[in-house]
Amino acid sequence: MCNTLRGFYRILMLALVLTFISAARAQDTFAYNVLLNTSGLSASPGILYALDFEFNNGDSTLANNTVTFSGFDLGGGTTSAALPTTLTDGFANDYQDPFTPGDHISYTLTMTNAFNGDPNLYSPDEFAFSILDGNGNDINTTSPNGSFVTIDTSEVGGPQSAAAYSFGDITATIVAVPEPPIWLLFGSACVLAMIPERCRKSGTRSLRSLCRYLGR
Amino acid sequence: MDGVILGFITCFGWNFSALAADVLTYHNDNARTGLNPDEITLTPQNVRADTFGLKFKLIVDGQLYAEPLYVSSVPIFNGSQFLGRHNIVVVATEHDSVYAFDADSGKLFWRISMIGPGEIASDPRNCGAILDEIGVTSTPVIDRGMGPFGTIYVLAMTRAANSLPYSYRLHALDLSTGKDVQPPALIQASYPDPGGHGPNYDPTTGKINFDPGYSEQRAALVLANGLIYTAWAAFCDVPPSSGWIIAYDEKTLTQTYVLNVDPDETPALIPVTSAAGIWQSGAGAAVDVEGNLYVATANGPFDPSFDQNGFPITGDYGDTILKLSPSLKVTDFFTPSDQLLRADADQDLGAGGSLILPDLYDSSNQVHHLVVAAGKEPTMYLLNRDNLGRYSPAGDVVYQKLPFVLGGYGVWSAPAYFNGALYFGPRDTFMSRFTFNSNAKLDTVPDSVTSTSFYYPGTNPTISSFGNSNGIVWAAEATTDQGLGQEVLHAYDALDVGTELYNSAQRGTRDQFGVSSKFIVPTISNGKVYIGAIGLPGTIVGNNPSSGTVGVFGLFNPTPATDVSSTIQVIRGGFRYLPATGHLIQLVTLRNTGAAPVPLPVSLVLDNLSNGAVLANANGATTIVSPVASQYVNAPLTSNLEPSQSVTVRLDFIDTLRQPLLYTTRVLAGVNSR
Repeated sequence: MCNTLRGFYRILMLALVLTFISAARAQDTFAYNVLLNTSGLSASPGILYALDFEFNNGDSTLANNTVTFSGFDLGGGTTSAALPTTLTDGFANDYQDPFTPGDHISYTLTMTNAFNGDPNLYSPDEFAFSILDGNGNDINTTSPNGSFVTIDTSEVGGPQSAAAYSFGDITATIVAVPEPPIWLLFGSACVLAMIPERCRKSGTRSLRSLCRYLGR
Repeated sequence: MDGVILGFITCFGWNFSALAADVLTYHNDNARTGLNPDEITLTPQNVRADTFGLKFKLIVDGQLYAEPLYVSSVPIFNGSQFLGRHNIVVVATEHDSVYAFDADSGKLFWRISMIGPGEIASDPRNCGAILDEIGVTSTPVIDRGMGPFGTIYVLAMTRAANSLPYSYRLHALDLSTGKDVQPPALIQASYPDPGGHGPNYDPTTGKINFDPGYSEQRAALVLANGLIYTAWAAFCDVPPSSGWIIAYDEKTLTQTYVLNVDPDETPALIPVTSAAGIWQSGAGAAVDVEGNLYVATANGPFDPSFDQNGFPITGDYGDTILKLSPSLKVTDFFTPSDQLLRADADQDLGAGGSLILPDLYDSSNQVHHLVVAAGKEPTMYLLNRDNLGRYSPAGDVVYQKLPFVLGGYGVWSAPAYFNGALYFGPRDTFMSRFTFNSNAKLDTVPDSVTSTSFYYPGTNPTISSFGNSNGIVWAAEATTDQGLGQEVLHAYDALDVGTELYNSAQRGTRDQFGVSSKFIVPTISNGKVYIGAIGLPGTIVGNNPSSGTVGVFGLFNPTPATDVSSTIQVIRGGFRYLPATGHLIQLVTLRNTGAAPVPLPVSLVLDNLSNGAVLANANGATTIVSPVASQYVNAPLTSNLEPSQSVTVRLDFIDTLRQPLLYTTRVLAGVNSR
């Protein structure tokens, strides 16, 4: 009985630790799939464009957040320079890449979510994705700031603020990617739930050691 | 990565003609509309002699011809001591001084003199157009995005104290301290004259040379395309003068482009004293959104023999409206068919300033790009900016010509535009309001005129409004002919200028502020009117010309707006960097968490803003609700902000110091003063 109770508490503690880690990571990093239909741009060949990726600081600390890019698909379009892999927040941190449009653009980005400073004085860090014309002006979208996608860190914790906009029939969509830590939490909980059963069935040496630790 | 990282490139020097409520250039903006559309405090209802009048006077050391400029929320320092942000009014005098006063209290923050060692302000050059001395005649221009706290560009004339060399220097002054941010540029120029007949022609170079002793710089400075454009005319048509436009890089003050508009001064069919100077009664060149400049020239020679592209072979453009590219190439022009008569009779087309109209649509929904111009002849010209009309001796081919609508002496001033109407203040007659009809043409008869007839040189109508409502037309009157005598400020209902709301002579001497000058332009911002004069109140004409005043008018007891901050949740977005302008854009959401509707206008006020930052789209700055000198932006609402309703406000920042951008917020609501 005593061993059973001690084992229960140990399982509970381990679950709490995993829950804490998962929750913390869920607040620190968010992932999104971005998709932009650019067939409307490619229908007018010969016009110069540039992809514009920005990550601008708003809080009291420069470079305390990172955006990581993966899985770029330009739908047959091309860029004349390498696509970005990471950006850290800075003052007017602006990465432009001359661009010939294809049918679409898609990519995945993950973005950390730190906010330092008094929210009554400072502002969130912001990632923005835009397309510029040959004069360096935005293809003005339905967003008041001219971008297709904006993602802001949260100044009060919790989820980031993400929004997608359009220009005519060129429409951006942004979908939050389910967070791996959530699956990790779920999977971990399942594994923990299975351990007593596995202990009773006397598994491998390492599992037997874990069973002894858990009092099973 | 081979992409273009811009994160660490300094990007000083954003181009914008004016902030919404600030007055940083002649007649408010580069279109020269003369309109401040963000005036909340002053309305046709409260601008009356019992509630409105002279608040205080600013006394300066020289005559005033330049328009006072208004800059909100400027960080002010005394040495390294930060004195806080203040709304300031900048005044430049004929004694070569520039002043920065607190626009709300009249306190002097700084004064600088541009007279160098061994120099004095220039003498009047035997002309009499300006009394006593000549220093700064043109209206300066301000770029809030240049330098750490903004830069004033001002052009000063001096001469050696014991000899006659004359000099003009273009200064760039720090807005916060008045100090030169770099050595001023000495104005020098030359221009090719293949004909060899031009003024100050040098046969060894084949060029004519700029002569500062015979060049008057009256037209307001222009900031556009990253350049400062200066325009030049003659002192009383005394030769050897000529029409110059000289441009300088605003970052370095290095000369970039030079144009002379009558380099050969042929054919010699007109009085030899005439030259195609650019003076425009002090108006600055109008600039369209593509950066093209529109200037009007005086009664110099016009060469009617054209090259294969249809331009005068000699480049002589007297009595002409010129369209100039940013690099000062003549790309189009309009010259009246009666140019020769004008030139002979000193009927400068270039006596008036031009105004670029907003896009106008006719009943067929066709858009028209127009510029309006008029000079000493009482004819108004509406010109198509895409095809000005050039020269047709058989008769003018223009968008619309309105003969004999501007009194008997025409215009020695600049018009204003508000809500589908043009306002002209011709010489020796009544100020008139002309309205556009559904065909995008002007009605040839004004729909209202003032009861006051304005002596020489007429008046420069200037307008305040809140959007399309509360329009007031402000005008300075010289109460005696030839521009001297007590100056009077008038206010008229913009929808009917026959309705006078106020004038500064209504209460005897209570609101007297000075002796009238010529070409004076009132400046209206944040509930006050600033108007320059020469001499002190009550002085006899010409008795004390070496002093000047600025009368500051406002409401005696303005009602403060309501602070609704406790019921408004402010949710900040991040900053978006605009590569083309260097500005930072931030979206801020206001949500009414209270139980009552919040009345219009709803103003998001930014207090404690970082010193290097300024709101480029501010609708105003606080003047009576403490803390003052905080800029605000009005939420884009058409009705009250209801409980639980949200609205997004777009903030457009210039951040010159490139430091973290901090501020705290307030929300003020209602139609009363901020």
